[in-house]
Amino acid sequence: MQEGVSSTASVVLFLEKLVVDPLVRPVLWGVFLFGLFLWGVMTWILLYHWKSYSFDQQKIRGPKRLYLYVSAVLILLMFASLISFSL
Amino acid sequence: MIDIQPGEKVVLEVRRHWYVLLIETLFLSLFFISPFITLCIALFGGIPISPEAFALWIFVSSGWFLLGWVLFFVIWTNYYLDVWIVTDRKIIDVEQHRLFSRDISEFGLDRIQNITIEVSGILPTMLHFGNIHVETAGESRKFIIKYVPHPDKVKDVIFKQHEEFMKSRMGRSSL
Repeated sequence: MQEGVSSTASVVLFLEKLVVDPLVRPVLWGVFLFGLFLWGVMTWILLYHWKSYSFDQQKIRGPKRLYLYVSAVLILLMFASLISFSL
Repeated sequence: MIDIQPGEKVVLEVRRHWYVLLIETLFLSLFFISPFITLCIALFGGIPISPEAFALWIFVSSGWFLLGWVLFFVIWTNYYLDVWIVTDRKIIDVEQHRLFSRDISEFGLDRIQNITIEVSGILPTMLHFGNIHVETAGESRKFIIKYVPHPDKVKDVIFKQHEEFMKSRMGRSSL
């Protein structure tokens, strides 16, 4: 536990140093946009597979919605935290 | 593409047991719990966290979850698209190796010569899953579907369809 606390403390210290670095904001926006691009590519690949190869289009509708809704929530969370971090 | 003729009835879709999906996605649980573990250690260890650092933690954790979420659906897609479709005329074997890599083969029910099921091990016995081997006439290749839930029931359904198909064929040829 003590080891975990000390390693977490070093991570938190690293985060605190990052917070005051002026370069970190544009880098984080770059990371966010690049992540969004990768997610878009992977989503296109998954949707293509579900549309082209799924035997029953009705059955795939539920998992497709679940995937898109949860992804949207996570992307919004990333965006909101980045906005609050940038303020 | 899966070719179903007009008038052809789909009797059964067979996928691997959920246990296979669970094993393949087990490592992803680390994805989902690791951000919480770091937060818990920080909170219970009395390490002060500024609001900016917390916002950064949310950003990193959400990105981490998103990566895990996409990976889960890549694995699930490979699981879901790997299927045997039993119709009243044939069996279609779709082998999904990974994204953009799949084999589709099919054989008529009249070509089935023998079906064997194989259940070996404690877990397959307890969770009721196993392998089904189908031998067909004129094919050196054996068709195998692995980790099928309730293989005995699947075997019965295939045999029943085989019998009905052969009866209808004999009925047509005697006319």
